[in-house]
Amino acid sequence: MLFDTPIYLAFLLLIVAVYWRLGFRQQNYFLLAASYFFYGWWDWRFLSLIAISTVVDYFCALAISRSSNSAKRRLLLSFSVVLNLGFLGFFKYFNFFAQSAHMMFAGFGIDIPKPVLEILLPPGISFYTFQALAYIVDVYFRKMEPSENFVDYALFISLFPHLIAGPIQRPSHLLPQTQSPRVFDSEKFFAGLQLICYGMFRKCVVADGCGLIANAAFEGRLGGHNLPAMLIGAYAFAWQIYGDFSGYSDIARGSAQLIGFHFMVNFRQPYLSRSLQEFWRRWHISLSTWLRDYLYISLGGSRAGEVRTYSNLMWTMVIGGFWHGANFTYIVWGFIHGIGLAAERSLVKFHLLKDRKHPELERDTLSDPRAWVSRIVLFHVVCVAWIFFRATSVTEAFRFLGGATTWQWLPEHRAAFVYLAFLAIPLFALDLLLEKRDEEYPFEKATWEIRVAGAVSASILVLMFTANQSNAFIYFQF
Amino acid sequence: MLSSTSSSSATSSGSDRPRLLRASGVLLGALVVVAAGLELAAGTVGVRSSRILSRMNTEHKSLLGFASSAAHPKTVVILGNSLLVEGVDYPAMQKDLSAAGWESRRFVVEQTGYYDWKFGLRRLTSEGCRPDAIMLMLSATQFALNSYAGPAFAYNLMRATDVVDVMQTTGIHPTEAASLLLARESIFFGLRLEFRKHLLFALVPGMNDLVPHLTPAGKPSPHAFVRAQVLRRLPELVGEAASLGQHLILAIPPVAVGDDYAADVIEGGRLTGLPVLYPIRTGDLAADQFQDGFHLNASGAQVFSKALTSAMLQQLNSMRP
Repeated sequence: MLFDTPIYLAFLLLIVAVYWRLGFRQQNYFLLAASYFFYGWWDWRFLSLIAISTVVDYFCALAISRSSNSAKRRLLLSFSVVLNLGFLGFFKYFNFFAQSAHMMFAGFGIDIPKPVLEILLPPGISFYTFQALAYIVDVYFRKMEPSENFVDYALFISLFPHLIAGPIQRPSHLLPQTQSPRVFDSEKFFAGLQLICYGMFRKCVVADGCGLIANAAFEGRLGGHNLPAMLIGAYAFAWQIYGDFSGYSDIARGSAQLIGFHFMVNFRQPYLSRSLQEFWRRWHISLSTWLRDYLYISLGGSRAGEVRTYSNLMWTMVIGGFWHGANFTYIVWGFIHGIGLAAERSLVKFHLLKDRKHPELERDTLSDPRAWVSRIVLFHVVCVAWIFFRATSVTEAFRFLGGATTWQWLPEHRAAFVYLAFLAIPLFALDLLLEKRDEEYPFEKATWEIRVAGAVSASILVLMFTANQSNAFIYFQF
Repeated sequence: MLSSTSSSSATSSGSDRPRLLRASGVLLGALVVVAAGLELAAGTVGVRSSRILSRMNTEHKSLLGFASSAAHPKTVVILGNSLLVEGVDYPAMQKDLSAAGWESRRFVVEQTGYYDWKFGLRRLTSEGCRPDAIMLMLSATQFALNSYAGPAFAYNLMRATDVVDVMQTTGIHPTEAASLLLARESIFFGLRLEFRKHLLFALVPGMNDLVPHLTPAGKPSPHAFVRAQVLRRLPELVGEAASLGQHLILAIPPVAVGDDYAADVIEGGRLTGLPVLYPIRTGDLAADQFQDGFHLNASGAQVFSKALTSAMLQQLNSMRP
């Protein structure tokens, strides 16, 4: 079920209407059934995969917690990790590795058969796999107690608002919420409704509109590959993916709040960042913190010398890139961010760049012209990386970038810039407002009348400007 | 201080709760009022504000209950898409048909193909449209299309009871079928894309220059695919029309260059006993009689309309002298 479709809104309305009439245990059973229905709506066959993974992880975590035998604990952890990554690897990466091996051997003149399987990628597998891994690892390191109740744990994995594209919830944050009664909170409920309205605006108006422009530019429909088309494509995709994923996250968080849950914030005005380090503290926060805590730190983090730190940064970002999809383009995207982060770190070390570990302490920089220079430079670095993320192959990405050497100005370029500005400026203005007022969503701290007016205005724009009714969220494919 | 799990998790104070609960009610109520207002506005101002929607609405209304009777002994309905609007000088055709004793009505829904009209025949029949003949004008490749005209199809041509059949026939997901059902029942959702287009054209300067580039050009279908689709679908269409008690005639317009696969439709018609009119062949008209290689311009339309009217009358009179 896609969040931006009438059927989802009807589903959510029904769930909320029934949910608050039930007792705590009944609520969990009801939500679990609803979440499995939500997931099975795509294809009921995918349910078996999530069910197997849930059952195995539940029992492994219990056994790990109860055992004091370190070898047995390690074996159980390995079994769970291998199973989860095995599912992910098979469904997401099998064809990629098979084709890569075929190409590599062909390079040496050896012709091996190329086994290509018709595999459907189960929606959300990357997200719920990471969430399950975080749980089993946390239990292994005794950072948390495992869930004794199977339904509570199954709900933690499959709760419908985050199931398909996150935000990736930390076990220590979400699991306790499934284990204790939720209390109806009118502020949370009201905020949830507003988050859904603004999320729809980000997705249906901004992202889907920008998507039309980005597709035209990347597919060479704006006069082929030239500088204006390259800029239009890169800018349009930057706003498309931001509107799409932040919109999804807002709808997910809003939906969760309507049923008394709280999800972590996933985006904080990322295009106002002045460095890559700051960018990753504002962009897809649930993934970047997951990668930091479960990958970067596991690799040694910054504790093993400067060179090793650079290497760890690089590996974390490359693996993070590869997590997005089975294509070299994502690896290059991760590599660009890894190189950028390592370079920034070395510049900070030699005092050539300011440390941006705590950007929240510098909120007054919106009026500082030097900060805006940094923002513009950083935005363009991020856009270059987005070109690789969006392109269907590395070759196509370089061809697209090669357009920078050709100048051609066509009437459609002007119109595309104007249309892009029409879509992106409102979102940018919203971000400035959020940054300036330190809010999670527009008018969060205003009177309720203004909050209602803001959400209704966003909804009117959604109804009037939705591009079409079947634009899947970009992150659904990951 | 930024935190990943902050503000909206903060619980409201006791005195705020009733006020915020009321605010949620006001917000939900306002959304319902907005939706109702848009639905109302769509049916009145919205339809009138667009030339296309206004035409579609008028034409659709004119078909309700349109049937042969003592007052209207010879009736014909002409269905199609933009090829019909651009390629046929309908007032002239209507006049010529009328002079020969045939009362005609036209109904054009843009971007329609085979599926739209397969289900459209059911809808129009259920609305009391029972003329002596229905002429459907599509290009040969449009008979092979697997797409349909989205919400406009649902609003104008689909019966609510056909939604499961549409889902099974076209292979769409239940999510899309549910959206179609909403578009079928709501004029705003049915025609929303057209409203959006008008708003964007009004608000964004130069949209005219951009729109043709926003939609990818469809890849030409291989001939074998088109032929197989046409030969499979025409018997289905004939069966559909027969079960509804409608007499169907097909018309194929010419294209500027290339193979329009009309021969396959003609062969399909011959095999199923379905009359196929192809009065002007591809290549018969000059390139400057087309707007874009596909749609005829005024000069091309004049030539094609005359030829089509003549072929139509011949066919109609042979059915009902």
